Amino acid sequence: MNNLPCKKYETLLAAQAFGDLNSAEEHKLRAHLAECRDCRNFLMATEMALGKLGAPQRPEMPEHFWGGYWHRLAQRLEQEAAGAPTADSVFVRLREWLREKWVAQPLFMPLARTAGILALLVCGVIIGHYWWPANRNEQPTLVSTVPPTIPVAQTRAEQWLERSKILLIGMANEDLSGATQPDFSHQRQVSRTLLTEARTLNHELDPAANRQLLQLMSQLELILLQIANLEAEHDLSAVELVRDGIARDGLLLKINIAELAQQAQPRPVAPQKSKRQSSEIL
Amino acid sequence: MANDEKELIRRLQAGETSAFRELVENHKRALFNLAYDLLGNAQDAEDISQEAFIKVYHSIGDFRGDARLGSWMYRIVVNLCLNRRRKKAWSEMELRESFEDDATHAPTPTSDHEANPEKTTEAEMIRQHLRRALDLLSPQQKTIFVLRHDDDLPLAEISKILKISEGTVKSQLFRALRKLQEELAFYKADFVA
Ligand SMILES: [Zn+2]
Repeated sequence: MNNLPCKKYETLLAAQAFGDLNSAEEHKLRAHLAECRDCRNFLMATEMALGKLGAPQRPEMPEHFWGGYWHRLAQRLEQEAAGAPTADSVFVRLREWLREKWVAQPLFMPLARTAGILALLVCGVIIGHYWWPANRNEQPTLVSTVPPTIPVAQTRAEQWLERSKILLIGMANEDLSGATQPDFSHQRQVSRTLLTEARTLNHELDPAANRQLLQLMSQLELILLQIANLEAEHDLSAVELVRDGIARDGLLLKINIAELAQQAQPRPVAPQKSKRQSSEIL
Repeated sequence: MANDEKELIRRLQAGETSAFRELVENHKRALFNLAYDLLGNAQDAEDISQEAFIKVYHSIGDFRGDARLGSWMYRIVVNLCLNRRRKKAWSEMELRESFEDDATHAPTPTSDHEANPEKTTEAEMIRQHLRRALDLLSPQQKTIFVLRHDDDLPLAEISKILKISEGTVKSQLFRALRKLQEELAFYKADFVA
């Protein structure tokens, strides 16, 4: 690491990095740079870092996502006006309620926290079983682990991959030519559940140790989002798009490879503080 | 403020649905992108951008026109994202504590365990590492960095959106840059060679 640049020039250096200096400031900084190696080094290193970082990579959402955006928003407004609760909001409300309890009663926090986590876990199991009845036999049952423990992120990531795979295989093999229109409401629901879980996993998995897994997950999330946004029925062109996406990105193969790699890994026990991890790895 | 925008605000405040739809169609991509840049997840980005539109819908009556409509909506998205991050940080902390009670440190996975030799190039690996390093910044620093670097907003606009001085914007940008440099220093051996 280089020496720190001069304190007095910090804001000028930051502004220079983004081309935000007026001519007087630029003049002042240039005069200083001529005689200060540390500030010069800072600017060079900044340029390199910004170059490596590059432009933001945003997902290219398919046209039907944007086409349906207004419709989904209008639906949300309607639901809100009608005060209709969604599965999500029940969950969120439960969590908010638990948080209020814990914050309000610090004395009982450890007990309440444990009880809260158990309650959430039980809810999760019930919701999971309700939403995923077809593959119940293939899931490691959380219920059977007594006393209940929350599986570490790594294990949950494996389960997540497996469930995504089953969903994708189902989507890829659904017969679209039949007389009856297929109904994707179950798949949509499962996709939503998987997306919600992915959000948590994204934050729990150590990024340095799971770079490729996280990359695969973010690819899968895009497909899951497409599935979650399918119209309930009669949305065959969108289903074709999903299938194209699965095939184009070789997602099933990637999941298989990732699963093999996961199985070969030593089990991490707890989520790691990412900073020290990354320095050790890199 | 441009006349078109004044007229749109007038129609919004009069409760015209067509005006609201126009607003949504014109700004949905920008708000989605901003939320995506801040949260890194498409589902959250859709959720937050829609929540922002709903907020606009409900509070357009209070909009006084002292900022551009776009800045005002950006501000709403930023606040929603910061709230969501706070909530997430909170629930992560709770889960982490419960893990750490009986945690024994697992062997550190080495890069050999990094699964398949897929074609993640080194540049791409560094890029992803730096992107994730942005999450180690304070929420305000990350927001400022994203608004300036990813969304290319001028400093003055960022200072309005976050209601902080331009000086603070610059000094937070400086810290964000320092952080990125620190992370990049891990790769120094590679890029010096
Ligand atoms: Zn200097």
